[in-house]
Amino acid sequence: MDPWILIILLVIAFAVVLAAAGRDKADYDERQWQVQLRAYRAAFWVFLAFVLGFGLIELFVGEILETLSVALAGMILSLTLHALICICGDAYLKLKASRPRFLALTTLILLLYLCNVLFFQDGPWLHGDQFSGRSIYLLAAGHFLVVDVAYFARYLYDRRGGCE
Amino acid sequence: MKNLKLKAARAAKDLSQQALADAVGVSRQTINAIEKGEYNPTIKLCRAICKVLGCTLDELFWEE
Repeated sequence: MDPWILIILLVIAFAVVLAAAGRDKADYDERQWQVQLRAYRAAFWVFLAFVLGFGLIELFVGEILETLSVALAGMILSLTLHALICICGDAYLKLKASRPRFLALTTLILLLYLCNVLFFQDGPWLHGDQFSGRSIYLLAAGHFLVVDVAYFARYLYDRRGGCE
Repeated sequence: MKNLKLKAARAAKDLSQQALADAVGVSRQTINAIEKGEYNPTIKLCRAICKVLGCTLDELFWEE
């Protein structure tokens, strides 16, 4: 069997298991859905603007980054924006989700990415006009850093009573 | 506009925002946003809040 098909099947199986495990937990409430919709919309337009902006720069100035690298950077930027809007509106995690566990998990992922960038990846940041693996890891680390800091700030704010 | 009637009814029942939120199945921030007038709840949520607080829709959500 083609290894890619096996990977896709494993990912689908993992998603099904996760969905089944979370079925009994309360989902998001109506205000959180509204915040998430706003976040999706903002992320979509920012992604489009980012790609369009780079396209215009390439048109008038010359190629800086390869198209796929631009799209990847745009996706991570819009994903981060989506996370930020959801965190600010307290719509990022489900109602019954454990916040300390989420913070611990994102911090662990952030540290793994940073360790990878700092100690295990020693290649160049760019291969010609393409992102190298090192810079992709750095972008992912940046995303998790922003999510982690924003969520930690939100967590502290809520623990102190929020605006009750 | 702030919903002071909701806040007063909740206080009269000696419920915290978190307790009311748990009772109606939303987050504490949602109750807070309703009380501050920053979020306009659906009729379904309004009814759930009224049931928990023992009030009518008019008493809690009708603006004079």
